[in-house]
Amino acid sequence: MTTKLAWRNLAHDRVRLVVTLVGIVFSVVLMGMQSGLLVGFTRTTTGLVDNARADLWMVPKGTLDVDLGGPLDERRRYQALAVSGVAKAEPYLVNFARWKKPDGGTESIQLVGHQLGDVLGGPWSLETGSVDDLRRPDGVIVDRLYAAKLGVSAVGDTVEINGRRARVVGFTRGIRTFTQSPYVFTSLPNAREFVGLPSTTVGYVLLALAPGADAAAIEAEIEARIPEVEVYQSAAFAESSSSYWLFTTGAGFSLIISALLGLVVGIVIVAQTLYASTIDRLPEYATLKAMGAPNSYLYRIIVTQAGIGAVIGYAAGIVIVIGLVFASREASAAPVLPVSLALGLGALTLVMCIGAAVLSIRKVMAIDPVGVFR
Amino acid sequence: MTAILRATDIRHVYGSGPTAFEALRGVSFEIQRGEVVLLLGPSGSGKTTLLQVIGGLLRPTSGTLTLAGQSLDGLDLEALGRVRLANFGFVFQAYNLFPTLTAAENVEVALDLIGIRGAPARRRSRELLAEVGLAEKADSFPAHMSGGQKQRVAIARALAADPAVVLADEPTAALDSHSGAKVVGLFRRLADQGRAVVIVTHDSRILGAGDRIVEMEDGVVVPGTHAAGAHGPDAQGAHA
Repeated sequence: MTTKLAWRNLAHDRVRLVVTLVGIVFSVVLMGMQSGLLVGFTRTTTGLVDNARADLWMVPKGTLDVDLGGPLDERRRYQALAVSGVAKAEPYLVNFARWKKPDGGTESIQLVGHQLGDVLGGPWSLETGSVDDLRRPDGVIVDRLYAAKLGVSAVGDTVEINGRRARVVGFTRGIRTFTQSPYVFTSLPNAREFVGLPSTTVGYVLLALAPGADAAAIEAEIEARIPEVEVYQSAAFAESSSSYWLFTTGAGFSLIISALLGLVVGIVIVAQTLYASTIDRLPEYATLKAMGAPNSYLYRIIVTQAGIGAVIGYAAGIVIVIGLVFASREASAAPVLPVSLALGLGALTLVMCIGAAVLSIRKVMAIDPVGVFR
Repeated sequence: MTAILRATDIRHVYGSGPTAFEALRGVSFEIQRGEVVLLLGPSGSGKTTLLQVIGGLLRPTSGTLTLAGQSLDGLDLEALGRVRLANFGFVFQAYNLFPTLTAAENVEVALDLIGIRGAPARRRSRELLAEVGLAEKADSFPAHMSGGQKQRVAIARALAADPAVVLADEPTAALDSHSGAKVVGLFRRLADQGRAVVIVTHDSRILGAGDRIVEMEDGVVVPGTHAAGAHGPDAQGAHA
C-alpha cells in the first residue's frame, strides 16, 4: 500500500513529477557523461601500457607517463635480461614527431616504435594491413579515428614525418590518444630514423617474466643494479600515466567536479520537489499518525516516492547516456560506459534520491497528529 | 457493567509559565460498549482536548486513563500509536481521506496498518464499504463523492481494525441534514454492534442520537450532564 500511495502522491501532480524526473535525468546524464569521459580518458591514457602485454616497464628515472618517456641506452635492456626471472626484454620507443599531410598542413603525432617480430608492444585492433607491413622502411600504421585529421584515407597514402617520407600500410580502429597527437605505429628502426635517434637509443624496455617469477623482487633487483632506471609493474605504470594526465592537467578534477555538480543538482531538485510534495500532504501524514501509523510507515511512503523517482529518472537518464556514448563512439574523446559504471550510477541515483528525502522525513517526524482535529 | 474507557481526574495544561492554559481541569469520564456519547460545549470548553486525551493522541498532564481495564499511563508515543491502531477508530470533520486513493484504497490503507494486505484487504475494504452503504462507490475517488459519502468512507476506514471505540470530531458539521442523518444512523449501528462511540459535536440536529450527553465548559464537565454511563459507578443521572 505504501508503494501505491507513494506512486499516487508522485503522479497526482504531473508538473511536479515532470520537474522531479527532469532533475533526476539531468543529474544521471551529467554524472554518466562526466564519469564516462573520465573512464574513457583513463583508458586512453593507459592504452599503450594496457596493450603492450609487458609484465614490467623499465623507464628512465623520473618518467611518470608513457607518452613522455626520455631516452634510454639500449644496453640497459641487456642488463635487465641478465636478471634471473626476466624472460624477455624488448625495446620500445614513444616520441613526438611532426606529420606533414599530403595536401599540406602539419599535425603533431606520437610515433610508437617496437621491435618487429617481438611479442611485446606494437599496434592492436588492426582493421587493415598487418604488422609485418611495417617491415617496409617507411611503413606506418595509423588509427582510422584520426585518418581525417592526418589527411589520409587509404593504405598507400604517403606523408612526411619530420621531413622523411612515410607510407600508410594499415589502419587500427579505436586507439585514441589523450594528448590529441595520434599514435602512429612503426618499427623501431623506422621510428629511430623518423625522429633522428641513434640505433642504441630506446624509450622504454618492456619486460616479460618467466612463469612464477616474483615481479616485485625483480623490479627491486633491476632498480638496484641500474640506478638510472625505474621499473613499474604494468598496472602501476598505467595508473601513473592516467594520474599524470588526469590530475596534473586538471582534466580529471574538472570531470569529477562536473560529475559532482550533477549529483548536487539532482539532490537539490529531488529534495525540493519531494519536500514540496510532503508539505502538500502533511494533513494526510498527520491523519496516518492519528490512526496509529508508526513513523516508519510514513518514512516508507516518502522513501518509496524517492525510490520511484530514482528508478524512472535513472532508466530515462541511462538510455540517454547510452545513446550519447553510442553517438560519440567515433569521436576522439569518447565516453565509455562499462556495466560497472552503469550499475554504480544506478546505485548513486538511488542514494541521491533517498538522501534528498531526508528533509521531508524530518518534516514528517515533527508532525503532531493532534493537528488533525484543528 | 465495566467501562471500556475510563478517564479519571484528567488535567491538561498547554504551555507553561504565565501563558499556561489549563484546558482540562479534573475531568472524569467513562463510556461503555454499546453507548453513543455526545460531547458538547462551546469552543474552548475542552471537549476536543478531552477527545484527544481519551483517544491516546495527547498525554494528559495528570490523571489516569484506562482502556478495557488497562492503564495507558506512561506509554510513549509509539506505544500509544499501537493502542490507537488496535482500539480506536477516528472520524474527522474534514473526512481526511487520501485524495489520490479510491474509496476502497482509503480503507485498505487502514487495513495495511494492521497487516492485512493484498486480496484479503481488497475483499475486506469492499465489505466495510458495503456496511456503510457505499459498495458501488468503491472505485471512486473522494473528489467524485459527496460530503456524506466521504464521511461514510471515513467511517468504513475507522472500522478497519474493528475498534472497540470510535471517536468522531464534528462528523456531521459539513453535511446536509439527509447525509448527517445517515452518518448518525451508522454511528448508532456501530454502538448496537457493541462499540463505544464518542461524538464531539455542535450540531443540534443530532442531539437525539446519543445515549448520553456530556457537556463541557471551561475545562470541566457541566454538573448534571452524564459523564458516566448509566450503569457506571459514577453515574450522575438519567439518560438524555
